Amino acid sequence: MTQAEIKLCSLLLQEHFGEIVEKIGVHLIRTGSQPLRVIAHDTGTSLDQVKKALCVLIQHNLVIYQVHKRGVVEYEAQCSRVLRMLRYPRYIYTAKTLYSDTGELIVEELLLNGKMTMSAVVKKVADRLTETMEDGKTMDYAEVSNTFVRLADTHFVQRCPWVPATENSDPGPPPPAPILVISEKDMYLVPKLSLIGKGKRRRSSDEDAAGEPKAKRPKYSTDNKEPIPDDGIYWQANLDRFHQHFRDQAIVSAVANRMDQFTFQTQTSSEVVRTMLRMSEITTPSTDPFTQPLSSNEIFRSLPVGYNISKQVLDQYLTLLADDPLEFVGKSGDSGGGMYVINLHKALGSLATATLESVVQERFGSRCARIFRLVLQKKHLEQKQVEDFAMIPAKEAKDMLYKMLSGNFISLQEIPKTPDHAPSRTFYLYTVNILSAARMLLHRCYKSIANLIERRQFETKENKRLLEKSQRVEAIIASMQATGAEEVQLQEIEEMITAPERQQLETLKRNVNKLDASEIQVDETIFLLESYIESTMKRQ
Amino acid sequence: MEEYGACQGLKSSWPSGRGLAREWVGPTGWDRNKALRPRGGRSAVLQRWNAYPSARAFCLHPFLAGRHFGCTVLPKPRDLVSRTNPMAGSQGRGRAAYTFNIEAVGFGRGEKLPDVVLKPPPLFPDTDYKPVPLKAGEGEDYMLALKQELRETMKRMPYYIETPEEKQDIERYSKRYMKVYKEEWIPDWRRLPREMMPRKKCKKGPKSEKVKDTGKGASLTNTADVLKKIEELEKRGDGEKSDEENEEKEGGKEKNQEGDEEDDDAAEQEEYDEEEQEEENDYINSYFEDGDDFGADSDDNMDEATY
Repeated sequence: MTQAEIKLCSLLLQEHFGEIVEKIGVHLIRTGSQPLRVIAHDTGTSLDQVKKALCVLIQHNLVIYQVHKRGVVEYEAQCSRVLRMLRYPRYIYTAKTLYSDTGELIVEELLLNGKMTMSAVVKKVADRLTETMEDGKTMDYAEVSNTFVRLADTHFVQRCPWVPATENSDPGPPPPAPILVISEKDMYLVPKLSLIGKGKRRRSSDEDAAGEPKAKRPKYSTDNKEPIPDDGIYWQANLDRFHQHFRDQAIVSAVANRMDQFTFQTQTSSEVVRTMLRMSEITTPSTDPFTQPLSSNEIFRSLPVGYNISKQVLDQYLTLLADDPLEFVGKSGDSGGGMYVINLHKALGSLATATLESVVQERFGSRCARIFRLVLQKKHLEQKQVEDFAMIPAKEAKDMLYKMLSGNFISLQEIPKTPDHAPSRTFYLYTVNILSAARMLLHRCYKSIANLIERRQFETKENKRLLEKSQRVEAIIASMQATGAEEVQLQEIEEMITAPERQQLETLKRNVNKLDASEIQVDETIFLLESYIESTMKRQ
Repeated sequence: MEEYGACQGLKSSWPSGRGLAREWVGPTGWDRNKALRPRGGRSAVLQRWNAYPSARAFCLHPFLAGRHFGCTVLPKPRDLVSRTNPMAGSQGRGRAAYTFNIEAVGFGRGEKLPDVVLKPPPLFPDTDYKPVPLKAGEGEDYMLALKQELRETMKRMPYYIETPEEKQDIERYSKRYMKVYKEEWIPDWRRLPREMMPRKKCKKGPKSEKVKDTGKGASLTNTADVLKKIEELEKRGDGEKSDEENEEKEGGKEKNQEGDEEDDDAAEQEEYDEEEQEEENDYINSYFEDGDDFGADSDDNMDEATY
């Protein structure tokens, strides 16, 4: 793990779980797989704290354990999974667009809690939805269950591995750690539950400020006493499926940008590509370079209802897509009216390249971008050739090339003419190695997000006093409004925050929003680059 | 500390033997004299240059190589030394031509070469091109709000483990009302290694409904005292005040019982202290309304001075 990744993981863990968990997590990421006592000794924290922290991390799928020889259990952290925490808002928003509020809340609960049983999820989501509904209405468990089943069917949630039930009791002592297994076919199997009930609304007295102890809620209500029907069957969010969805979205929007530029075309080509991707959602594992071949007839049948284009027009579109130099769609045969595949690896490569081009353009200017694209296209170019092809004066071209070279976007390939590699008798060719440039950019993205988070924390800490004051004022206003105060009194309380302070708060809010939005968008770039790198590594 | 090596090729730095000599230790061994003062003309130097291909790969741009830090190993061919560093003067054997086509690198003959950079690039460099504005749209706004909300929510979840604060000398009044009460979370022990379970010295049973554990005898008798006090207060009929205390005590007691499972010595101590403080404040509480109504209502009921 690079230093930048470790730093980012440390910031994320600290923000979400506190300092103790952060210390343990970062230690595990740095040092790899370790047993419990060694962790406690090396980090200097008490055994209790370490146990608590590890429980939290295991619950959230950030740490896995393995039993080694002589019964020692070792814990290993998953750095890449920690970095996924940046993407939680995107997952939840995607669930919202696909399955509306119910789906959104289900995914949110699963992400916040790591793993949950289906009944617990349904109950919590129903309660939350009931609160947002109008008075008197409640959310039925059945509706939430249906959405949950739909999510499981489309693989957005999956079951966690569980302890296999052993028929014969172990003669020896129980193992130090349970071995969790899961089989492919059971992963999306929803247990038959009859969840009957409605969401409960919280009592209005509980809507006070956070000082209200939650212990006021009936802790020992009857629900807890009943045995949970699906005890031991835990569900988690299937992040790979979400990634597949993001990738499909990116491909469709790329096709739309390229081909559907004219509004009167009603976005047909992107629709065709979307249909093809949808058809191969479940059949093709996301790491394959190509989707399964689809015949033109199948695509025609699967087009969304209401899309009335004739078969010939569809064929024309498919041919157009297949002939496009971007090579997103390829033709793999002629049976069934033409077999077409989507070239996933190429598509990801194009997206990563486009990202690189755009970064070069924004950082060095459009002329540099021209040179970059030129070198990309021609693969290897000498200095003189670059100047000629790009039609840029020699001095500037050299300057730009060296700038990009020192930024590691372009690299040099030397081809010696003589065996003694004399510099005067060697060709030096400029080339773009997309994989290494992508890696460099990814590393930079991690650093940027770490900087953004640090800056945001710094800004918040600087204005901590002011923020607390404004929170207190809001709490007072809220309580006064609840007890029915007059306008004059409310005005007085609001004036407790002076105008310059209000200004300061506004500025702070704007800055924090900007930093947060930047984090989300840098994460999109990270997703593209990581997908491309992963796809390339799989092929090698 | 000046960077030496092929990149700068300051002749004065060659024979001082500070680091360069060490770097000459190669697989073939080396002759100290030969290493320090290569004689034998250009071809001999070039031979050494060629013998270390990996180093060459770093030093592709001898003129820009001043920026490549940590570029160790080879000295430059001596001819270049006098050219690149005007300070070296004409110590070289003659102002011979470069070993490669200088035009190719971009500097005309006789031009002044750019200064070698001796420090890391600035921390906040000026950018010629300002960044493009962020994407704005419904989706982005929603995700932004979601992110900020999630951040707040995570802090209130039981998974967020607070660092135990040091005891402050003065107990701030507002602290009681800014405490965030969290639900307890009990992991599913069947899925975790056995060593994760909290160990008790003399643990009777794992059930939380059982009230007493011998290890917790001390704090629970305390609870028993507290409970008795609650009953007394209830009989006095103080209405909502004692309800609040009751529930606070209940919260404390429940936390206590849940604390059996967590086996947190620190938490035990905290709870113990909390109950102790609550006991101390019981007396005061019965005279004085709680802070929520401090501003508005209490003026109506109480003419007494505040304590």
